Amino acid sequence: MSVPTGDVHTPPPTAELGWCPVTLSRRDFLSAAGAGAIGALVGSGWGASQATDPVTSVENPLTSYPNRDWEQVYHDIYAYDAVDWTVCHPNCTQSCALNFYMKNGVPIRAEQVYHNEEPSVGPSGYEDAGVSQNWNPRGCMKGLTLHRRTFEPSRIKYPMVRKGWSPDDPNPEGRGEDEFERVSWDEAIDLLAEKMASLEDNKRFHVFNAIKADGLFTRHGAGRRLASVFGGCEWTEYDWYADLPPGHVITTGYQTSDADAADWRKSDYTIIQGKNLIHNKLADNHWFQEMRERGGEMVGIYPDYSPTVQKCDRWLPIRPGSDPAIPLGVAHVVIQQDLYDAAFMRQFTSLPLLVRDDDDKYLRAHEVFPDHSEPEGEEAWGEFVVLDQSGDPVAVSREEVGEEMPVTPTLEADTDLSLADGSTVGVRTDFTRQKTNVLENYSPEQVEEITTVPADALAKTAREFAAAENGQWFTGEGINHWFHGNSALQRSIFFVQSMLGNVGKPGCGYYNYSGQYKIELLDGYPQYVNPDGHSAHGMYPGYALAFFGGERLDPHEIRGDFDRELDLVPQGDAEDPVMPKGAESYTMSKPSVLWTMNCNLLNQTKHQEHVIENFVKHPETENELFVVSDMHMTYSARHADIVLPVPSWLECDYPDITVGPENPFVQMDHGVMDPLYDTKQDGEIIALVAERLDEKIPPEERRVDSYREYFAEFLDEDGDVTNYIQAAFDAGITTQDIDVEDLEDGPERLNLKTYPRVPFYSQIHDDRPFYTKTGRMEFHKEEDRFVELDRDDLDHIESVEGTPYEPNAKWPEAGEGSNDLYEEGYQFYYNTPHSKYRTHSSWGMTDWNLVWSARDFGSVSADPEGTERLIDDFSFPEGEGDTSDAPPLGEAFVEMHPSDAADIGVENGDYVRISGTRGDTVVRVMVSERQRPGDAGDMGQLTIWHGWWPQHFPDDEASEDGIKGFNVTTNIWLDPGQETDDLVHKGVFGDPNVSDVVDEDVAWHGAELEHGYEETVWAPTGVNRDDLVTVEKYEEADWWPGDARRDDLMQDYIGGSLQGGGN
Amino acid sequence: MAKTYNPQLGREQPYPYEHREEERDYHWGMVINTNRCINCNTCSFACKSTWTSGEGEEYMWWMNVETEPYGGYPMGWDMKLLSELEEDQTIFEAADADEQVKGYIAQKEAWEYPALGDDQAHGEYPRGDVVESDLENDEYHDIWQFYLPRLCNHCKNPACLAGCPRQAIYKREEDGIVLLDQERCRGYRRCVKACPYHKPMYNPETGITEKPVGCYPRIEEGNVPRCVSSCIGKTRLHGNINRGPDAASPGGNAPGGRSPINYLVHSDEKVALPLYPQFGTQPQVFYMPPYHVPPEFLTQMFTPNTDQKRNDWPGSTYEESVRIVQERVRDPSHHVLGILQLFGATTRLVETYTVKENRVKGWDQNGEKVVDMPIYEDIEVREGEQWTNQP
Repeated sequence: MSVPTGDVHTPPPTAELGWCPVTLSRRDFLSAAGAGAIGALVGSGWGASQATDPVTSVENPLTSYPNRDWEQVYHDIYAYDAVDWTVCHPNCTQSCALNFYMKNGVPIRAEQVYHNEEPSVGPSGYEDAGVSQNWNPRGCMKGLTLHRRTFEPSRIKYPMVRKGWSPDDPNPEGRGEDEFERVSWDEAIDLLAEKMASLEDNKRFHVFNAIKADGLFTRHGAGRRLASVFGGCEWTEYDWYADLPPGHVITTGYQTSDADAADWRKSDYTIIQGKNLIHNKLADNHWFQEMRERGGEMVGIYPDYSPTVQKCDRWLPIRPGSDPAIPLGVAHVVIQQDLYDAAFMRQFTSLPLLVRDDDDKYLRAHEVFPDHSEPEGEEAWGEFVVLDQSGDPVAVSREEVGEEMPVTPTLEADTDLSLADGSTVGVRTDFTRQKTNVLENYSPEQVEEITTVPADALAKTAREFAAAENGQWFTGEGINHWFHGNSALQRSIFFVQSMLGNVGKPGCGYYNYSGQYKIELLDGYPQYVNPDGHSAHGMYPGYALAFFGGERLDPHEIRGDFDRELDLVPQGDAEDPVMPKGAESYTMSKPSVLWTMNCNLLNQTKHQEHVIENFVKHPETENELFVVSDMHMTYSARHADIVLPVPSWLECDYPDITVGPENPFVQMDHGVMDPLYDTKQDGEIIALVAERLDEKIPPEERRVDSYREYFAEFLDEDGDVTNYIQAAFDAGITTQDIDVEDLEDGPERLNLKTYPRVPFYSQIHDDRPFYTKTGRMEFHKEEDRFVELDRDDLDHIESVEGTPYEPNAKWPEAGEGSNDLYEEGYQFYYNTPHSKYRTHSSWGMTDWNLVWSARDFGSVSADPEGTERLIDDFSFPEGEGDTSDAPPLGEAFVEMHPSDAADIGVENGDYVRISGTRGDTVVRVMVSERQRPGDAGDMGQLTIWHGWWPQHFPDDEASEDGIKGFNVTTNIWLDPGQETDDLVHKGVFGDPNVSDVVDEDVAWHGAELEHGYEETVWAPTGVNRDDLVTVEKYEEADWWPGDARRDDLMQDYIGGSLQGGGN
Repeated sequence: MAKTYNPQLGREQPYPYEHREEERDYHWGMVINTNRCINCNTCSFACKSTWTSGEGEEYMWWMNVETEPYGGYPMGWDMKLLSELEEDQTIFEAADADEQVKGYIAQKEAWEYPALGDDQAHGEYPRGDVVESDLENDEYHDIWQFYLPRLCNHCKNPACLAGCPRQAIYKREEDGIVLLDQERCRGYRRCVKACPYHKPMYNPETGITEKPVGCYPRIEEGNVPRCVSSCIGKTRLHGNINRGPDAASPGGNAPGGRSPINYLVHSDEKVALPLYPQFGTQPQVFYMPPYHVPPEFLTQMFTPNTDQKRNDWPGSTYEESVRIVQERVRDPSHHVLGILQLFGATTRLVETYTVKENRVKGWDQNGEKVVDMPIYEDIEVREGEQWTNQP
């Protein structure tokens, strides 16, 4: 065959090759907003390729090529005229420094910051923070589309007021439907300030959400500061969204504590349960994979084939919601086979402490020893009692832990003890209580019955885990979002880990990596948000949404109190009895003014139909003004009365700082480009409101001399908001020696006891007490509420709704009963895990992220070949009835197992209606072998990745309210176990163990243990997985790529025999 | 057609052009550890935001990650060709008489879903059972998926180059990067048809074809491609695949000898395999295979897939090669573990390296040290009673 030369005749390409060049989208999405500018800039080099040139012969293009001048084309595309850097820190909790490459003032691409390296010309990188290069690089695909997000059609371009709203007549029925009117900033600020100034009770001013991943000082952290000085309330997402894992607080007295990611690879055995770590913690994930390279084994426990399963050595498929039984089954093996570390249990846990049989309280020393007097005062819990090796009682205080234990106590006892008053009481050690229950009810065979996990595999896993040197156990949002998953499961995992001595040491522990508890790492923060002793009232969002709308939810039902036995009492300024007795510290104040910042509350809220119909749009709602500050016209902003546009991180005037729970860095961001629209940063908006409040409220009626003074750095000519940051740094030991200016050059490392950070290191190595009454990791709980609910010891309890068995009951009784809802035909679990291409709902409309997050149904073409779509163009309202539109490049979908889909006659790509007792929604089906089928146990599982916008769902033609989305079937559950004043814990900030030792100018100097409600620490969590639904076919829709994947060719391919005559 | 020796196949094969007599001192190459890959597509976004965010390029993802076995961009790209190839037949040998290369044009709709099959697993849900992998006992996951990052392989026998009738595609002398001359191309799409990896892509707006550029503006400055530096999973190492054990020091205090990727690909401790070497293009991106996945599938994907094993890979059959490599990847030697620390440590292109005890070091092409880090790190404990991990 001859070598072809350049002068062959021109073939007729389109006819021969069958693909006519067509424009890929019916509406060119790049023409929208600034994305077009990016395209145009990058594409500017293409003109050259149209030029004709003489065809010259190339002898051998494998070895040389005559004219390479054209290569300049890609140099030009690559070229930039400036580089600036900032930090991407959405609520994924990670925080990653990125360089932005600029052309003509427009960011054209982002790259992760490395060490002091070209072309990372920005900050100095992580090395200067005193860590190894192994932290390079950080920053996922979301950071790389921050500039595209900034240019999106969904941006809010100027302040707006809903036309139907007026201060005196809020007319809430028009929310979400009325047109907006463009107003000036001055007018918007004035309306808001006027409403605040006219409040009868300042507690009715509510800010959502200040303690969050993004924007600690100059953004919505300023909102918290205003709520504090104004005397308002603050809501936080951490507890509401159920990231808060109360089992940690119950066991350790501590909000949550997670190790640095750099610690993960030191483990030699990992159990990962219900956490899709490989997609939730992208930037720091490599540490996890490195653990396997270093010999680590990994066992995953999931109901579905989670993407993380592909990395696991073993997958134990589990019935959804049955997770708390797993660690109890492991505990059974550990106890029965004597695999536990008795010394560790004696030193650091409540397991040797005696508990009275009559009232389930820990036995106190004064009850036994005449020379011990009864402790006085609320915070005095007395000393506890153990039995020494000869069976004699010995008093131990909460400080006598570790090596300071006065005796070697016996772990097991079940005896009668004579008390100082001459009476006799039956006592058992905490360990005996747990052991008896575990041995009786949680053998691997019994756990198999509960969970469907094969008993032999569970027992094998338990033995291997016990034999490992360093065992770590992860759970996450997937389980925290179950009513009992977020406390019972966690307590039992801690039980296993403490029996194995897997706490406080490198490569060990029990971690969650969910949520905003990272703020504790910035321990000088209270100096800013709670200035001069003013602190906003905590407010649990579920109360407002459940009880302050027009129609209220049944307070017993949403607590799982189906027999209506809980003693509910009036609370706060509610008119109905809605709180369990003994929860006085729980604020309930009507949110007359609700101002959300950096939060898409209505998209992400549970029981969405109730919230929209009753809290938002009901004529009798207690909410008179709903203000939304956002970058985008979200579902929440669409329902606002006042819409305030904020800049993207790339456009910010003022810098801000950020920290993260799985890395040791503190970092500062700053804008890299001029704002595109008439936006203001949260801090500046707050400052302007504060200034206006001074004008409207006479000095004698203000709670502070001047509201403006607290925000003066935002407003004064010579103001410098970094002064706020520096002052807070100076007030925290983690940041005391850090100069804000240094952060302009890159990250710094926080000052912590260890690097990598290992939680409870001081407890185990320096014999310091845990933050519980007993000073130990507590398994039996003596607080009245736990005893009353029969949850004082470790158990598995069935879901309040998401179960075919007896709801809210223990086994074996639960297994003998059944769930009425299940019997009525609601026979699917409903799972809403996190998507990797979004952070919650943010990036939900960013084109590339949308295409990929829609997976099979994401297309770069708005009108793809061979399929039908029921969704329309996305439309975002602007002032005066105008809209900004975007092509629908992706749509939401629900994953469902093929056998379950076949049962209802549904094929890949068809649309279904999912219905629960609280609402329904129509969505496209992705048939997926990953999902748990009904015949694997009892019910199938449906999975909708969370964070879709309503626009991503088609309208249901039969639906009257038009409310749609992934949250319509979920519920606002309140766990009464978490609504009690008497649980002892540490506050968010500071360590009571050393609060006398730290400098007096540290914000938490002198901090003591606390009890009762504390936002982000001890509050009911807004669980949403306890949800049964049913599913039916809605409409057929051809979707040909799905069929193409199921043919014989595919089967041969998968079997490795596709190539002719291969093996 | 000329004959050329293809070491990946262990035999001669036809190719339209003569190879150079001597291999380049430097050739673009890459190793990807699929076991570290988390399918975040940060590489894809990095590539697209750098190179293909212009008009007519909306559908182009030069870099994409697909989930095996159901993923594919364009859809089914490898299946069609595999089904039409005989055993031991390269795409050059299978070509019809009037063409250089056997291939096909993926139609428009096959490109429209870049995330098709994303995160789909294959297998039966384990009812009443568990899923387990135990390499020593030849046990693999029976429901499985894995992530396959896909990019231009900058092949030593590039099919796109062979297929281009205008000779507008060439291999750069200095680094082996395969480029498509944007001024010379007339959009015949012969390269689009020829490339078995489907990485040349036609721009319907400009009427010419574009292909991945190996990030040459970065390579020329001694930096690694965007898909490598952006990889937060630290799955990748880029460098000089041709730098063997006898090569001299690149300068300074840098040691001579192999590049780190050459060690992973060409040493006796081979841990990385080419993607579809049976196509005959000598691709230069090498994959550390997923160790939980059944080797039958991987043998089809990462070996010449013939009954008779001809090349110098370990084992007596290709399936055995895969099994051996899987085990090496699951439980890497200290030396390989050391090299794994170089992945994602620096944006500089690591030309040579050392692994000594607990230290790994890397030097760039100028002989400057660009990596110096421990393999195992001890915990640091701050002295003083005020310090706590609990603030």
